Amino acid sequence: MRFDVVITSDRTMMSNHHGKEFLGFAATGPPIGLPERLWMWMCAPKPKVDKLGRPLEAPYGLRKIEASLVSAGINAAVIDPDHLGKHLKHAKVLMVGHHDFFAMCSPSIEWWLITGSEPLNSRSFKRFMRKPEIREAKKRGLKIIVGGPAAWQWLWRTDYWREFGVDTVVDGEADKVVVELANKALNGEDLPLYVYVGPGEAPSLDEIPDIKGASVNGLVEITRGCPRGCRFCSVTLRPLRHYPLDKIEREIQVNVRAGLKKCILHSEDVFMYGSKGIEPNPDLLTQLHKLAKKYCRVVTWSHVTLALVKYSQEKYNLVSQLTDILYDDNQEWIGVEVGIETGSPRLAEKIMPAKAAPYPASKWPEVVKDAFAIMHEHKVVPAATLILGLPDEREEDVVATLELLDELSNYRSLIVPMFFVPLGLLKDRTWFLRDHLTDQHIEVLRKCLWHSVKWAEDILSHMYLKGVAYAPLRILLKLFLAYVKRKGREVERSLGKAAL
Amino acid sequence: MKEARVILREGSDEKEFLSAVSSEAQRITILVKTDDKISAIERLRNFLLSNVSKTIVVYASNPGERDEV
Ligand code: SF4
Repeated sequence: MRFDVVITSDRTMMSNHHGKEFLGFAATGPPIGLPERLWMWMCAPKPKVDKLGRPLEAPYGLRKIEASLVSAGINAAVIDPDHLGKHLKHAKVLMVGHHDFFAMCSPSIEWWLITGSEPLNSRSFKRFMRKPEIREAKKRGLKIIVGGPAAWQWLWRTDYWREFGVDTVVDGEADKVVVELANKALNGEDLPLYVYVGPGEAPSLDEIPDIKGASVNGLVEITRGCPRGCRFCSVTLRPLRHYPLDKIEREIQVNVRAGLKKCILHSEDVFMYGSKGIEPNPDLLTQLHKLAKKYCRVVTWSHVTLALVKYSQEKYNLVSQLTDILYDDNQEWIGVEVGIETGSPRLAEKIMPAKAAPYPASKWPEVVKDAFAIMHEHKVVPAATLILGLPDEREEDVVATLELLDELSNYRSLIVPMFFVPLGLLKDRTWFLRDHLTDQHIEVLRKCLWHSVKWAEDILSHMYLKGVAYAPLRILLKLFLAYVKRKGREVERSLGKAAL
Repeated sequence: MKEARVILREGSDEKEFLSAVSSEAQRITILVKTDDKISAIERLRNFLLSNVSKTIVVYASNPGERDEV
């Protein structure tokens, strides 16, 4: 079978990460302490494929592109990167998506800056683009279109744009424009070099077709966009859309039919699903969780906001209700991404005035503490981000973040500090580079390191990767943690600091 | 959907481009006339990085080709 349009990515993206989404994040780091091949196996093992080389599970973003093309009558499929050769002999268009092509997003860039070693995701992507089968197909006239949340990186890396012979870079929600581009390429018309899809052209729900094949770890979108308007975030530029329950159910069914028994509900804030403004909709949220649990043994959340964790629990007892629906013999905890960003109310008011809503931004540290306490009690484990070097950051702001970190020390969580990377409304500001690190920033890095190491050991021992099947991975991760601890102490000694 | 179309030639001033950018158009299609296509992106980089609200489509073509997008 031949496909006119082949959709793919490199191995760090095209993997189910052993069914553990968090392991995929290891690709944002350089392969230190372990050989690169072992790192790759740990975070990005090869997926199962059918006889045509189509992966059983593929990244949700690629599945959405595939769905748009197939629904428009275009002969397209997601293909595993190891099986491109036979398809590129005939395909006319290669579409490549990625979350972080050149390791310019957080936390890849931090790892690169701190260790001086290129992260795995960028190494793997460049290796992929230099595959002989892609180069040969390019010589025969293959059109290459790249896109995804990291598309902006190509604007900085025109050297690779030239080297890889990329025809078009697409930034923004591509569901509609991708059909237009594929048709142009298939009809031999000129392609634009660059397309940015503005919020005014974001697809409506009717224009977003259901996925046709299973997504990695059963991820299904439940909302798109976010109304909170944080100034460093590009997601917020897009309108908020809630998928109806029947659409979500259809996508879960696609995953279940492929044999998946898990589901990740994807939203910038799961508690925002079906909300009016930011007032949660407990009935709809309860229905959504019951629906997902009807099909899947394990149901988790991609992101929540700390403000709605606190508000939903205090007003509706909702964290308790939802975890009661989810927890059973198959599942006893949830991992989720959250954004702390800063411990400073002053900075919160300036840069993310609505992040604490319905509470005032001046109460931000209290919101964070209360939400962490609620999550700890309900075995919801946050992987939290902090942003250092935000515009207008002052020393007192970083001190406030340090104080907040002390107050979070007893709550099970991972806290990852990031340097300010200009995206969204601030995407043209200067980067926060290593040279700009102050002593307070270094203190934040140290506190986060030891906090996360302590809780990672606890999570590994009691919750994550349980069972014999995961023993090799557990051992590898424990070895890696031991390496991180040893390196951390070495760095502290060189800085003349006592271990925390 | 209001659309503005603008052609940028090598060495030309950017008045027309800037007026398209500041217009009410929600979609701007830019054709850059250049011998080196990717240099069109380098020329527009700051604008592309700072734009968040409008749809932008950039084409590049050789100075000798037709001015059509
Ligand atoms: S709450 Fe999160 S997704 Fe929403 S605007 Fe802020 S950072 Fe972006």
